[in-house]
Amino acid sequence: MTYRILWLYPKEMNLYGDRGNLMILKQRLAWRGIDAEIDELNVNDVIDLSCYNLIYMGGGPDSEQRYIYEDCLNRKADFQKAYDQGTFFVLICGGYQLFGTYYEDQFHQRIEGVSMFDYHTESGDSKRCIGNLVVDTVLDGEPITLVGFENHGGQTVGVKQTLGRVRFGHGNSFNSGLEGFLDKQVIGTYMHGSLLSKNPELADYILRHSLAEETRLEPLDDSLEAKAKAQLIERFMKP
Amino acid sequence: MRTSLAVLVAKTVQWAMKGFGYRAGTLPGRLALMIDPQLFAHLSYPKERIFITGTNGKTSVNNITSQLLIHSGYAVVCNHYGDNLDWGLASTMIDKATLSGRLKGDILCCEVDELTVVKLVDVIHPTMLVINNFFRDQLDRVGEMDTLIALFEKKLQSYTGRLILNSNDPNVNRLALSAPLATRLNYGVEPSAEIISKDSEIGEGTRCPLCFKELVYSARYYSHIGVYACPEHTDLMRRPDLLATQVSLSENRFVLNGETYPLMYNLTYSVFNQLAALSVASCFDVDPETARQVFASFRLENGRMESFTIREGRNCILNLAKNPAGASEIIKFVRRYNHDHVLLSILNDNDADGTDVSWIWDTPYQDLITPSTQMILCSGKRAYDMAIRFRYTGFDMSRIAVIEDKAEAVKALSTYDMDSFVLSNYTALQATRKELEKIAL
Repeated sequence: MTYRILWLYPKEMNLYGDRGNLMILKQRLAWRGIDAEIDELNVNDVIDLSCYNLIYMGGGPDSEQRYIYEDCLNRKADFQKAYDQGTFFVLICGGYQLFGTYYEDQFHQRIEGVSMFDYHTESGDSKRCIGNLVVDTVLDGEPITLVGFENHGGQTVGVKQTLGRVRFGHGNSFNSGLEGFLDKQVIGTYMHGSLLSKNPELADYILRHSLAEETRLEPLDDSLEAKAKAQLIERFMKP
Repeated sequence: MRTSLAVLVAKTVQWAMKGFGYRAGTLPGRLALMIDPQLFAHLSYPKERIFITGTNGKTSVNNITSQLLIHSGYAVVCNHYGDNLDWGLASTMIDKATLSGRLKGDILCCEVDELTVVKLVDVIHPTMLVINNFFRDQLDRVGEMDTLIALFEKKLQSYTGRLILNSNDPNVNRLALSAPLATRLNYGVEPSAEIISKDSEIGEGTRCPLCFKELVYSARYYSHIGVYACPEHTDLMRRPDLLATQVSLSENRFVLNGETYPLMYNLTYSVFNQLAALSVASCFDVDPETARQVFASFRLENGRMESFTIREGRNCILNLAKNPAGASEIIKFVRRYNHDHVLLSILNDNDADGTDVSWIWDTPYQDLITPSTQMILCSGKRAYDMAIRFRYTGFDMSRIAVIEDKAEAVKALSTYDMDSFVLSNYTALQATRKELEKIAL
């Protein structure tokens, strides 16, 4: 079997090393003997969205986001169909914002979102959220701490199921204490780093929830990530 | 009065520190600015004031330029070591100023951090502003590319000096559109087989600033640097006034206006750095033979392509790799080496590095791995992130080691009986240099 990934707008939405997440997922699958293929969706491409395990979108500069959002909106029905068929979505930063009901750009212009989910994003003005991010979450019953970096002006509000509680950093909005969006087959987040680079538990969570149920994922040696995380948590949480 | 006091205090500190054998660094400038926050407005400057900026190459371009000028008989005030924020600039200037704050010299030639250019261009009024390139770098400090370009465009509206720009970088080339009062001088490189990249690389600024259509490249050198055109605005890329031709990496040379010059480093970006310096030189009476001699003999000993012998018969080359574009070029260089070797990659996340290390995932470290790569050592404050990055290239985990302390890592490097390459980002570079010097034979 081949694990199929669709990467949305890689030319425009590739600002913060988010391509690293695809590298990581592909490699973690390869180590388990599973082949992964990454297809790219660019503006005006005609692609059948219904055959992917994972649909992925990264963050990008506001100016680039402007070029892709109309194309993205036009595919709303296809995204919904893919979701209904069980495709997993990983949406980072601008991608996360775009799948809400709307977002406000830096000029306070309201830009319609795909509206697959209920939250929306307001313009941050002087409240830009930049810095390291430590978030406590629970994945399949396991408490996990996620470590990454956020850099966003947008303030996302109205998120009904968050990814986790912020221990250090801002999260969805300035000092909000809550970060991201988690649903049975969606992760929306502001976390870069890349997101999965120090959070292998999250990588495997995504894979578990996007592979056929019987697929067994052998544990991998993630001791490097564990050391990286422990070191950074200690450093950031120092009083 | 305040200015004289500021200069006096700073000079005293400089004198004292040098007396104790230390490089005075940025502290004198910091003190001076505390005493006189408007210091830069109060100093008197030479007739010619050159600011050199851009994401990559500032230190090289600055040093090469000042060497060309010094060897042509000019007295130059220059921040050779690369202290390019206001403290460092103040220190450099005060060091060469009289007590009344008058800079002694014919020419002020400084590398200036991008955001500091924005701050000081209306204060110091540089007669020349050289902008080499804009790449993604320190997104958490500098912000997105658009922000930086917008800041420059605003300031350039009233700039009346000479704007020296790299035609092959669309992010820089476009700035002339916002500088109606400036005189313009552009430099660029003609395509040649050896420098055209066949990889598709991550680039920024690939849209026309006038109509936002995607730019079409007829030749790409690296990242977004190349020969491009807008489908609608066909003469968007300004024809270079100084055009380097016949660039050859195998023969290490390029030609400009009928004169052949040696390449200082065997990498495409070296042509651009040298061209930027030659562009400034063309405004003074620097002759080609002087330029050739400087290119052939001058080498920055500050961690750019710097060689150390840390083991008998073995060479260790140190390089700065601080953002995807610059690192990619170094990676191409290391990759060409097909004898067994060890890599040491050092990653810090101090403020001056950019505290977000996500950029390493936009950098093609996987291209470093060849059958000749024997061992990878990772060091610095974010050594583990670096090791994780290499883990995901698929490289044998048993040959990746984390040695956080730079001194220990350098010592470990010398235990391997093979050549080595060290890649370090910004704040780790000088310390790494010192460690390599310490154990060098």
